[in-house]
Amino acid sequence: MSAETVRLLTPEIVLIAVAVAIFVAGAFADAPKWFRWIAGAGVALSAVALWMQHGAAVCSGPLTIDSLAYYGRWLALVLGALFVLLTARPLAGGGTPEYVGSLLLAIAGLMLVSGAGELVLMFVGLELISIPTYVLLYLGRRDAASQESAVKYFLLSILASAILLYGLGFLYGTTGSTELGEIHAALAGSRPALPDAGAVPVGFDMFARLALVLIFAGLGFKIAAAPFHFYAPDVYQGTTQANAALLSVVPKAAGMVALVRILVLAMPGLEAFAWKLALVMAVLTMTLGNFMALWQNNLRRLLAYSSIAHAGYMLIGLTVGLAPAIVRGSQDGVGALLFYLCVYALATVGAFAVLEYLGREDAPIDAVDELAGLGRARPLVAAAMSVFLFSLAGIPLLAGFWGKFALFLSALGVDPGGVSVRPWFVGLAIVGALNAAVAAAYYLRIVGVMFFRTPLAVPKAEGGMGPWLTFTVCAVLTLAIGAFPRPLLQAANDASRQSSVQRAAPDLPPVELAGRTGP
Amino acid sequence: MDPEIALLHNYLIVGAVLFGIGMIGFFSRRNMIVMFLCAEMMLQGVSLSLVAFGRFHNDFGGQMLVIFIIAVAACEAAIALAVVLMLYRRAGKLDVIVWQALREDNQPAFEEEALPEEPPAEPWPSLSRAGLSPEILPEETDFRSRL
Amino acid sequence: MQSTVLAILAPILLFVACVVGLAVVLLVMGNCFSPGRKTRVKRMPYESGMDPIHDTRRQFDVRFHLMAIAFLVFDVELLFLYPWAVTAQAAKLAASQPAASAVATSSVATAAESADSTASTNRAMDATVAALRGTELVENRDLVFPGVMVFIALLTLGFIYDWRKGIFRWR
Repeated sequence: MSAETVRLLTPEIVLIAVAVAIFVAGAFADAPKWFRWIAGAGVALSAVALWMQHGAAVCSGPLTIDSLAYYGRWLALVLGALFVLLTARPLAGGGTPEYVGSLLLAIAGLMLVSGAGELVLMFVGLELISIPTYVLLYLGRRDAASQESAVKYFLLSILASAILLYGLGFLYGTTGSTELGEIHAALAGSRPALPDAGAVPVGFDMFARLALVLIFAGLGFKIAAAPFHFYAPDVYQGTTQANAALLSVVPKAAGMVALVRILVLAMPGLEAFAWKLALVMAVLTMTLGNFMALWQNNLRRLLAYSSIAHAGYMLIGLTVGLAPAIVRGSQDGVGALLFYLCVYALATVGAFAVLEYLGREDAPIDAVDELAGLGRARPLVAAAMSVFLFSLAGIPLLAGFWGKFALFLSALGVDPGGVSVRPWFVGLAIVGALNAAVAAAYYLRIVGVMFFRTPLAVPKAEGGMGPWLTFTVCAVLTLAIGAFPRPLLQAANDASRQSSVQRAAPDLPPVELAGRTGP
Repeated sequence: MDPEIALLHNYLIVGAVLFGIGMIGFFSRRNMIVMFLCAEMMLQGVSLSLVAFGRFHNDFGGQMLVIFIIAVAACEAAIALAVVLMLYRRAGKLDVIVWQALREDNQPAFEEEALPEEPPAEPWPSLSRAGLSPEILPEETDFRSRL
Repeated sequence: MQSTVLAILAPILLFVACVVGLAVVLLVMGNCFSPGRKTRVKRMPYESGMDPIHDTRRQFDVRFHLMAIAFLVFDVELLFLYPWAVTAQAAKLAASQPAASAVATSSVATAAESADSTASTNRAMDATVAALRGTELVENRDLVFPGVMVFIALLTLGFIYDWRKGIFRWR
């Protein structure tokens, strides 16, 4: 620890301090409106602090503040601002300060995970997301379904934490260090992993592999990847729209960044095993998510399966990123993943914000049919919802399209030169494209219901200003990224390429994608 | 064999057994508190492995992680107690089977087989007042000595 | 190696055998020689000579749970203070000894320890000092104390929160 570490942590410290202040102030005064403003000010202050410290990549203490960290932290702050807006309605049963404070803590957790260069800090960051999430799930609404979703998420989440920790434990045991840079050095062979060169424990060569499987399983829960997805539909269905939005974005972003940090950047020498695992999980996850979504009538359940499917798409990028020694393509896998993460987050938060805006506190929008005739009753809202659904479906010229395009391009670009690996990645891209076609069916079904069905009862639209602003901002951003994907894609690719822990193949050719993916 | 490695193996095996017992318990039990305790047992298995690895590598990192695991587990335990308490108040049971309203539309609810009924327990007798010897019924005076 | 382990464990095994043997002998003797009278009163659960009026698997009051939760959280946070105490002292020692003389000091210390039986605790301390020597922490040891004070201040804020929420009030 040094003064430099504290300085680099300023944005997180600001957020946590504001959250603590809100908790304590909430015990003294009851003014729900004010806490939103304070939370908003906290996010803004944190953004200012983050803006001020922008600079070259540094490693300080447990932190690795590189371009990946900046990307993740900016994403976290944008999401934080959106969620503070989205949850502007005071809670019916009280507990607003606790709700807002927990929200800020979860955002701070995501920022910590993004900048963690060390297993302990990464674990603490992940738990700083999970523990406030339990509180949020519990506080969101106090009916039986909401509490059922809280307990389901809670029990499975601690199981996932235990599995992840066992993986981290074996990673530590193999390498003798909790710092990702040291772990990389030990696994790459440039630093002796064992204290005594002569004596090797039985099964020691399997530990790294075991660690990889366990970490993948533990983080697979956070990103809702099959076969660890089963909690998602139930939990989303039972909780509020805002909580569902949070669950589908924040743990997923944290899990993805942690996967990139640990598996891709810190575990060299295991790619041959890791990319096969990731490939199987990617195919399984997107296929299962998309096909299950076809049958759903509950909107939150449908979006839950959709979020599972999108985790599958993102795993394509991870699969490509895990095979760095053989990538000779024009698009970086991890870069595509990070780009897709941002695009997916905007569209999903926007979609949930529309639902939040349309529903009432005591009667949220549940079924797809409740949106019938929205195109006539509220054309602007229906248009925004269509933008999000088209973006999720990957219709050309919207942000989601460029995301899927970058992912499939990265998979097609894997070319080892004569080794029989390429068909696997081409197959992966084809499965992804087929899945996108299947997914279009259920997204377009919602759009069809909105525009071509006679209204049953016009939704009240009592969500208020906050959700309205949220989905407007999300829609504008989605359209803007659709029109000009290059800056964000460039940022994502920089985040992936300039990460401070070097990959196994430092002789990657400079990536030139601007000409291919730009509009 | 090197005693250090033998020691490491012993601890890793105990840690793995703890982790395994916890996981089996988590999947097979239905009481929410017991499920939570099983998850805690998994964490203890992990902690034991971490401490053993830390000793093996002569490094404090493992112990550090264990301290954080314990602290985080305490926070989770606090939330678990609170949430379980609320659910218990609502349902009157700790059984997780109560909580299955959220599921796929066409999925039937899990119904459990009825348990065989137990005969009602005999009421306990009242004690005599202090100082008096309890009265002994003739049918209960089965004095015996084995030798 | 087997024989050495056995040699170390032999007294313990003997002890265990004696204990188990004695217990078995006592139980068997008691069972053989004692008169037995199985009355219903004797088969009752023992509750200090009173009539057992409740089922023992009774529910606890919620207020106990609240106390338990609060205690649990504050109790476990104490755990962080032990490493802090050790580290703070070690950092001070590491800073007070110049790095050049460190090797000489430690070798002298090892020689002294082998004679001194109370040195086992010092050895752990020496290892910590040696591990810390030259690290960032020693240069920034002034930050350690404020860090822990911030930690305790946060705990105090938590305490104030609990107090205002009224969980210490026995309603």
